[in-house]
Amino acid sequence: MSGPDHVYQIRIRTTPERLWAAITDPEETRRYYFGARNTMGGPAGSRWESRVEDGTLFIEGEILESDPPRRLVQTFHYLGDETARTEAATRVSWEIERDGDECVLTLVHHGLEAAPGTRRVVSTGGWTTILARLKEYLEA
Amino acid sequence: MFKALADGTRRHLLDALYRRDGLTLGELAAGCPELTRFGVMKHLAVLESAGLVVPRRVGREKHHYLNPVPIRQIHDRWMSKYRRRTTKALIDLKSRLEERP
Repeated sequence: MSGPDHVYQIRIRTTPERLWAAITDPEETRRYYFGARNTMGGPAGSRWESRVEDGTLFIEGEILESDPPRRLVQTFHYLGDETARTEAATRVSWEIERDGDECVLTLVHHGLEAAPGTRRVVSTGGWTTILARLKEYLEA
Repeated sequence: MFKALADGTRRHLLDALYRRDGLTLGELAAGCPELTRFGVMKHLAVLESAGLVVPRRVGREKHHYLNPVPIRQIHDRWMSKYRRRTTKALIDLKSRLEERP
């Protein structure tokens, strides 16, 4: 079993239910996810996609696991970059743990070894920007 | 977090994870021959409580990951978006000039 490639963790003063809604409701994701609407609220086996404001599809994949409000696993195929578009889909998991009046959100990205284009996009400020903005949005 | 970063050994451990993420305690200790395994463990605990390193269990092994989020938050706190471009230009200039022999 191979380990994850990247691990990101952030503490957010909110409840797991509120955080889950912010991650899965497209009207909320556009507030912190580069303006994109993400449809990640479906059950395991459903498709999900991320579209920017003008409707362009920029990420797509499948929901592999959905256990609200604790754990969501998805395949992640980045289409907004010529190299990444031709690569195999990677895998992202979102884990939510309550800690007092805060939640610890851990985002784990697998499969980047075989997807250097996707790796470049997510590691040059992609996930850190999204997570920092998500915290700002929920704590405002 | 600043206390965690104030120590040379801990910055060295972060550098090691920056080069190769997901190292085990044994692998990190091998890169610090001047320290005991226990010493490395203590430094890792400080980095973990500051949120700079996140441990993950993979099978029977514990791997350590560099968490870039707190560093990003520090960056955002003092760097206005208008100054980012100029700052980046200066840093790029420094690295280009210094890589020449």
